[in-house]
Amino acid sequence: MTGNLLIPAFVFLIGALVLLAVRGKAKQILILAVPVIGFLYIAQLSPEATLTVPFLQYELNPLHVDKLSKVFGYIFCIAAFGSFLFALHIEGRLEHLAALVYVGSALGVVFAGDFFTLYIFWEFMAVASVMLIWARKTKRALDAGYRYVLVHIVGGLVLLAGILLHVHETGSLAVGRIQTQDISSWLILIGFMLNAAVPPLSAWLSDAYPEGTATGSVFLSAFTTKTAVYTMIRVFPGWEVLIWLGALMTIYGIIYAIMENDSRKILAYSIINQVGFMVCGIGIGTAMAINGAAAHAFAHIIYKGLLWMSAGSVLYMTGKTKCTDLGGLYKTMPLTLICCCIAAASISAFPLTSGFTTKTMILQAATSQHLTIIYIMLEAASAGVFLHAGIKFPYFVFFAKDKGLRVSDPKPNMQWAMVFFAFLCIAIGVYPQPLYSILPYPVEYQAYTGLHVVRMLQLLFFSGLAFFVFLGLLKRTETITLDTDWIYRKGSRLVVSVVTGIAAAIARVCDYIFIQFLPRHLAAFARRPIGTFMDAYRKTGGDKGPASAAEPELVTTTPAGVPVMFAIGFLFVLAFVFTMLFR
Amino acid sequence: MKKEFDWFDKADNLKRLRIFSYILLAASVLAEFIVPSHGAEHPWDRIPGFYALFGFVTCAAMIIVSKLLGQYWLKKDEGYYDR
Repeated sequence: MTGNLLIPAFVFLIGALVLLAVRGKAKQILILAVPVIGFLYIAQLSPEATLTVPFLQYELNPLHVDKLSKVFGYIFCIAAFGSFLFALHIEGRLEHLAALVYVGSALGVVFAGDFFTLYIFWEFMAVASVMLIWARKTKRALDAGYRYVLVHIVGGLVLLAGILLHVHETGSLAVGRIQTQDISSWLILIGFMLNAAVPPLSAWLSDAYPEGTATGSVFLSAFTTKTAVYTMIRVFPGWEVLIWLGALMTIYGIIYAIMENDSRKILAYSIINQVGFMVCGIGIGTAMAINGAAAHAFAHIIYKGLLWMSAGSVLYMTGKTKCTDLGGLYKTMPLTLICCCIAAASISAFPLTSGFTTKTMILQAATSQHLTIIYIMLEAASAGVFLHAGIKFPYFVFFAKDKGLRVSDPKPNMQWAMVFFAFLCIAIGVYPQPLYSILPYPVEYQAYTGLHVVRMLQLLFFSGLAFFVFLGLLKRTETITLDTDWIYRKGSRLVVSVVTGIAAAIARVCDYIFIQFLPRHLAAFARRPIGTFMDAYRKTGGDKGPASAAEPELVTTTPAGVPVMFAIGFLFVLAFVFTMLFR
Repeated sequence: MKKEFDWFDKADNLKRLRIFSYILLAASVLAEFIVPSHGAEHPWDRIPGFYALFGFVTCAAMIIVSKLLGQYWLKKDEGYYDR
């Protein structure tokens, strides 16, 4: 074992161990200090920093540092700091512990130089993050958490299968660009796509994230999908299929977000929409597109975290999340409203906010590559973002019909966390150069040209007009929306009933043959070998002899036919094998 | 007791807000004639107000599509999965 022993993940995992020993103020200081230490530690890491660990005949490399991994390292620490500040008031240890392990594992994936390390941290993320859902302690959260973790275990197994095949083919564990399209690369891609919530593998997100705790979902919104975006940038840049999947994701997220009634489900679908922009950028794969995807992930984590914070504040204060139960909160939650609007403007890419200086890079990259249809889809999606996350979410929660809820802004630590993220949204929008300077490739992009600004404003203002013109069609209903999770929520019941139905039918047939029909006739035959044939002859031939005495019924209450059939089959096989071997 | 902030509940204010919004809409289209138009990259970039129209039409389309999808297929009552 040689090199830098402390990988960034360990900063958080050691923090998690220390957390077990402290309480009260010390606990609060600890959870705020860990992300700061992590950030500073990552900042001083140079690309030469490595760690190699021998493993079987391979070499693990849990510390791979370059500009790309550092960008994601920075933003994960910033997101962790803001989210822990938002959750500072939480009394128990479980949520903080889960969050520390979750963030640490995400950093473990980001700095993993080999697939084995990546996979281990990948699974840790799934297990740690589900605790943030279960911590809500409702039946719905419990159920959604189970579905979440099961889906992620399946996704993890697909990823593992892909990794094993890949290592078998190439003999290398190193995480790097894959260009050959074969079964192993597709399996790895599907594993990544599931965590990035690419439809149809996306329903776990909109199913589970809204069931998380008010503070836990802020963490959830940042790490799982963006870790997957990171791994895709690393392994699959320039895969054309991602261009189309990403563009479809952006539209898919919008259509569902418009239908949803639950405010946090709107935000969940809007994650799918936003990650779509990044996936599309990864598919385009040029330096500008990759820069755009990384920068957009950076900005997205902040404004999306802020949106989840404002929704979390509303949930924390009112206990409600459905648009049909909310409205009129602007009167008593001014700070939450203002921060929410800053986040809404950022996600919609209004000039002077972070979305404008980052997302437009991906659009520009599509233009440069003459991907006209993709460009149009992304522009349409940009308009739609304003529609669902920019207006619909704040409008129905803070304005619309006053539902008589009179709650104040949340606790001071929650307010400070929102102000911190709101500040970053504006800062990146006004002065994006520091962000541009840490991107993987040199940036030659000028966001603020007169034409860019005017067109974006036109697009957004008239999307807003469409919202109010069609407000009648957008009336909230007390409904849920079916997504692909139907397949395992309802479809599984169908499968179970079909399978049990078939099994029961087989059992009945076997029962009849082996328990009732054969034994009765064999018994009758054994008792009167000739008489049985005579009886049968009489029945068919019409020779009216005396009817045979009624045989005693062999009745069974349990369907024992199947085991008997298997037993008979097994004996036949044994006999066959025996004769083949010893003849 | 402090008087509640209810600016958005007053009809007068909403009317002012509406007029202000219309001015913004018009200004965003008119501004296109003022800013330098070099850097046009798509054929439609030279059509004044194209992005305004595009934004409105695509949003209208998305609203209608999701309304239809919801109405006839995807929207279910909240107890759907509990049955």
